[in-house]
Amino acid sequence: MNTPADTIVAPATPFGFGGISVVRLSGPFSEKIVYTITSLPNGKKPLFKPRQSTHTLLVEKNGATFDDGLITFFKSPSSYTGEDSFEISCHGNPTIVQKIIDRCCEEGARMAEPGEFTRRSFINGKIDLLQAESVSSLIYSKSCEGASLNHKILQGKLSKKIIEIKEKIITLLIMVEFELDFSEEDLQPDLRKNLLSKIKPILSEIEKLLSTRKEGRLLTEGALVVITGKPNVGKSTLLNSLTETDRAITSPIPGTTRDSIEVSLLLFGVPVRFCDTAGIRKGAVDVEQEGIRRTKILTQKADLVLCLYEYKKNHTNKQKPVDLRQEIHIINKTDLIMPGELKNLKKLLPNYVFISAKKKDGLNILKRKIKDLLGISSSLSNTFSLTTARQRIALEDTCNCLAAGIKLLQDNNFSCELLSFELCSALDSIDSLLGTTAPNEIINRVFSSFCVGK
Amino acid sequence: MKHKSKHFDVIVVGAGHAGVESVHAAVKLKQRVALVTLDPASLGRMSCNPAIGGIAKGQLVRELDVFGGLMPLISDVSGVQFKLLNLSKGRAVWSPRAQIDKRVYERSAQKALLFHSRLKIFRDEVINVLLIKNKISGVLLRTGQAIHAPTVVLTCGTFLGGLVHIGEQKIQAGRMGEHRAEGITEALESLGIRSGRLKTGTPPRLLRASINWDKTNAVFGDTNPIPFSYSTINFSPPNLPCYHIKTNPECHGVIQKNLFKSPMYSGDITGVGPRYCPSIEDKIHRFVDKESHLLYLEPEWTGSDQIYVNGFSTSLPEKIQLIALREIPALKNVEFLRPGYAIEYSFFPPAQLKSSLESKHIQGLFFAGQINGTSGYEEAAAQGLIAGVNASMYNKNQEPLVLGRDEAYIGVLIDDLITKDTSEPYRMFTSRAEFRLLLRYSNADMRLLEKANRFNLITNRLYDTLHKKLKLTNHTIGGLNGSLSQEEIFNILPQLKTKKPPHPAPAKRFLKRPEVSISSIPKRFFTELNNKDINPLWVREIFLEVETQIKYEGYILRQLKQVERMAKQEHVSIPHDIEYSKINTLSKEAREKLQFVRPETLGQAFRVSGVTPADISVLSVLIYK
Repeated sequence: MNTPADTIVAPATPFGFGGISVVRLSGPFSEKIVYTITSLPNGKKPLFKPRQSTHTLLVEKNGATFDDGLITFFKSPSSYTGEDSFEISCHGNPTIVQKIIDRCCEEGARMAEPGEFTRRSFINGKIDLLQAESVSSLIYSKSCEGASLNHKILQGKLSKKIIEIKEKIITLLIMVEFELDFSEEDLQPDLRKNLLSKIKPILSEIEKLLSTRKEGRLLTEGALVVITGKPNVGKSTLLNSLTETDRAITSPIPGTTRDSIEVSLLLFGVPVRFCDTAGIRKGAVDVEQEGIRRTKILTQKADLVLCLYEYKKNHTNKQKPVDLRQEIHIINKTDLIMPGELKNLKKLLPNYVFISAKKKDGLNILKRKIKDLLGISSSLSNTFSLTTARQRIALEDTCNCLAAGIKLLQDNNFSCELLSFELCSALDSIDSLLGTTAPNEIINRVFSSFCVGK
Repeated sequence: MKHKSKHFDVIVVGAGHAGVESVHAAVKLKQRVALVTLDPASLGRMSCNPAIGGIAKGQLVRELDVFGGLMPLISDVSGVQFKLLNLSKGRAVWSPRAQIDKRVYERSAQKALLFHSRLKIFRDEVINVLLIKNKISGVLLRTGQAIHAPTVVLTCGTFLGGLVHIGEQKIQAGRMGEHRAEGITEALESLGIRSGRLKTGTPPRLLRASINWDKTNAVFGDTNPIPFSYSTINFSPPNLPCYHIKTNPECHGVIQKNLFKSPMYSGDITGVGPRYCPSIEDKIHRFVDKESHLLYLEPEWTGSDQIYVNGFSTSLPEKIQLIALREIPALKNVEFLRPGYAIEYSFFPPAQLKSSLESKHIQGLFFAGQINGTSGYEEAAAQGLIAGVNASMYNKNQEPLVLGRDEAYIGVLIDDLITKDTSEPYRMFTSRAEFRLLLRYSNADMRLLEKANRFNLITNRLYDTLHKKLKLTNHTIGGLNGSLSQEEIFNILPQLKTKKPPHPAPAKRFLKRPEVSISSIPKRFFTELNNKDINPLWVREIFLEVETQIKYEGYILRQLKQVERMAKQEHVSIPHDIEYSKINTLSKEAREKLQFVRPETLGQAFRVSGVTPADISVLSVLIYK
């Protein structure tokens, strides 16, 4: 790692041609560097005022102009990194972007490492670890709602909630420590009851937070919905109909699809990755076998499995118990069933969804059911959610410690020192989220998951 | 004493509890020691409450014992009531405490030291230190003579610029009736060592005959007492009572009305007092709702006329103290032998010390005790021992004795002192030790035995016997892996009879159940402990340790994992020449604090108050570069 006292530069927009591109520069020498690589059309040197954009020419070492652009100055500490920073907007051409970066490096800057801007922001106390993590999620966020969720974490809403919980645990701990170190004065007669009544709400508060984690992940990573069923039951057709594409090749020959195909779409604002799989049947050839193996793995990872069946006379689909939380059972090809028979069937199998993928019948009912089962709530934008596995694990640890604490408290002769140990451990886990006691490895792992420039 | 010259190995200044342990450790390590004290007759004096040990302090005393400290031994000799505190709160916080006969204590300390062949005592006062460049070379005494040594341990207690307050009355003194030390504070300040002011208080002493004892509650100690020292055998101390009384609204009224006469409230005292040991005026002012506070009447020595009122520390005018106390029925006609008072004194913020207690500014100069901003006999003694040992190590050009936070309360104490802000007198608490479950009074010997041996602080004989005790403990724990028969299980847990018969299973597993104690495990598992060679006091402790280690096994493992995590940064040392003021990515507060403290390791930096995790990331980035 490098010392934070030097100046870093990196493109802030993706590689490629476009209207404009932005290069970002941050560090103590950034003002001096920008000063050297710019010039006003009248040959004078520009003057940069904080929070203002200045139109200048971008010049070579020998003074020759290579582009012009808008330069915005963010003075320390009112910048993202907390250091003096500049954003240089130039024409959207990779050669120009590279040129600007080369010029900055010539004048003493260096290329930023992945996540370095955010790391500096963290080091300068502009954001805490949770917020830093959320920046990474924001960049990779696949939906608008996901982006807005991460934006909320960025503003410290989740941090605030967790700090609140932390404060509550500290309050308990203070009571316990007081009891341990000042036992001679019997000042807390109802300690056990008092602690119990206070610790339980904290536990349920964290449990509530934990339940938001699934939502948070769905929003940033997208839900994985896998379509399974016997060969030629119409899985690919369903995929095409749901996503209104022709991604999957369909044919009446069983085993047409030999590898899984994934199509993303926004379902009520949530990114959903629909996945068509190879149908599972006996006696399949090698290539198909491999496809079947992959299907099995995919089904295990899925947030939701659509089990597709075809109606056959004398056929009942009652052979396995239906787990309504993870699977939707669908009877396809209703267009081939006689209307009267269909009516009876619907009565017989109330938990099934009846569709015709080919005729696009019943698809809206199916979509709504998918949304319900994925647990996407419409009030989502007013809450906040956990988004990364680290956050979940830390809070689960906290939960376990508090639950162990409650168990201790249920004994009339509870050991105060063991309760203290559980509370301290709970605090440790919470601290690892807020970054107050985060060991270096965690910090480094968080930062290494950033893309260059952020 | 054969010293013709005035040259020594170690000079110890002050003969309180820190000074006593310093001298004792240094002479034991074959150093020639000079002790400078204003009054040799007050060596080892207990200037405040007549008790040693207590919560967290008892653990300190036990640890001192493994390192050959004097306090545990003479506490056992002079104790008049022994009690294990905190019994209902959990085994790691069980803390031994003893009421002490102050006179016997003082006499025992003096007997142990005054005539030691390697010690010379100067009845004098140190007014300056002598330096060669930035190395100490001796001290200058008030009588004009200079004595020389490559190391000096300063343990001046409350005597530096001591100022006694009783109401509006101010008296310059070190302790009531004793001279204060002057000159040394200024001398050290001129060398760039920062000083500050603190205050502490002491309650009035009552005349025994003036108390109506019928209206008090007698409280006795344990009938089966345990000693502090592993060297104490045939332990049968007396069990004299202390007495409870309670303050009442009338008493509080008097204090409330006269609050403005207390120098703490009138602003006369600028030093900061301890929050945890508040004066009675503090307690009444801050806990308005409490109608009554508990007071303990403690005799200061056997047959003493002088009674100490624990819980009534005050700096109110003498007359008000008396009127307030006389509102309590038992004290209706009480007379004072001495009023309570507050004392203000100078100290040197210990963040200026290394973990060896040597000054970061001046080589060979050590600080220990109240001069470092601590309060309490035990805290002073612990530092005194470490400073005495490390002055000797310095002279021998050997590595200092430094204890980790996971090894000993002494380690926690010193690490806290050198990394934290001292804004009030520092007292040891169990909650200061994050690895509390590992630091039990009952395993002090196991934790520290090897280190004590490596530094030659423990006699071979004691080392051998303690080592045997350790082996016996481990062996007994191993033995409990043996299975209990069905019949034995029914004896322990009769309620199991009604259910289906249990399979034989390791005894250990049953001992883990909260309702099963080690006494209900069949005797056949403990035959080795019936050996007559083993001190019966120790057998009790082995039982306790075995039980604790088995019952707490899961917790201990979790705690050890935490230790491991801490250890990672604990041993990353920070370069000596780092210029914090120039690292502008550090917060301003961190820059100032780190520049002042100059931590030796990243672990220490982590614990410096005001330093944020972000600052630590910056530092680690710089260090690993």
